[in-house]
Amino acid sequence: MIDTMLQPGESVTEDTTLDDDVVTEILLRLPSASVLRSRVVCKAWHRITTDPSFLAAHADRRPAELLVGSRGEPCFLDTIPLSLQLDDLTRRRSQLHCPKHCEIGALLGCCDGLLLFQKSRESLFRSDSR
Amino acid sequence: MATREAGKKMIMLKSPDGMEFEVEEAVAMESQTIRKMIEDDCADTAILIPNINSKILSRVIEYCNKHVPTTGATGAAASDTVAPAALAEDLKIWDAEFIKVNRATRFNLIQAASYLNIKGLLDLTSQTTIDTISDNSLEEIRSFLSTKNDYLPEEEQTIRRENQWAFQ
Repeated sequence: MIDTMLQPGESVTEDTTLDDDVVTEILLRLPSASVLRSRVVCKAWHRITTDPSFLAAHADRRPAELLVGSRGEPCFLDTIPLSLQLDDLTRRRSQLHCPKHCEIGALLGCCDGLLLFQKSRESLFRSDSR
Repeated sequence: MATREAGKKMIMLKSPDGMEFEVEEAVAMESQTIRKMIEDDCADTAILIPNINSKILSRVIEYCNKHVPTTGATGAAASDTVAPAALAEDLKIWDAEFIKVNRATRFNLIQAASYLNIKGLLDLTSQTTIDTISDNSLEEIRSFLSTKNDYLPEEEQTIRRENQWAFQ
């Protein structure tokens, strides 16, 4: 749904370009996957969305989510927003990116949206939006 | 100039194109940027709002006028007679009408809301852009935001690879 509501005689000029502050405000409001896709739009957006302060601010804005996982077959790692009503739970569960053939171990810690797990064979992997 | 009128403190806001807008202090303080200036006693005379022309500034003031809390002495009557839910619904309808503007105006409003730090207005004005970025192809996003792809093809492929799961 691209908006093309331009008035007669109006063109997209320098008035309609957004400065970095405004782009930052908008990108901060996007879900993680959209932020990652936006990195391919142009170099400026890549610079903004890989900045540590952006990542921390983005993580701060995410709603609280419950992490659920299974170590069985198949193993999975999902998140459930805490703010939803019970009826919505199954519908709004979202899958986290999880390396294939992984065995999910203990969650060791998290920082600004970065999760650190310990695999059962004493190796580590991370799951995040970076 | 800060003056008093019917018991309400007034603040003068000036746009760079020379227009002056006298608004109630409570309305002006919907902007966290202006609130800070007032609280820091930097607002004795007219406040110049840089980079926001009079057309956009008047729309911003219109928004703040509508959204200023109506509790307290000034708005007691309104709160007594209308239920909060009805007020919220009324605001939603008003917002939907307010945002029916062309793209250039909306981008200018986003910039103004960002500079003046008005969270509600920023949420409202940036939503269409957020929807566009979430739902459309990269080419459509670039076209919508007049942004040029400045990557070499191999650079773009690298970024895609690094963020592969987001493209699945």
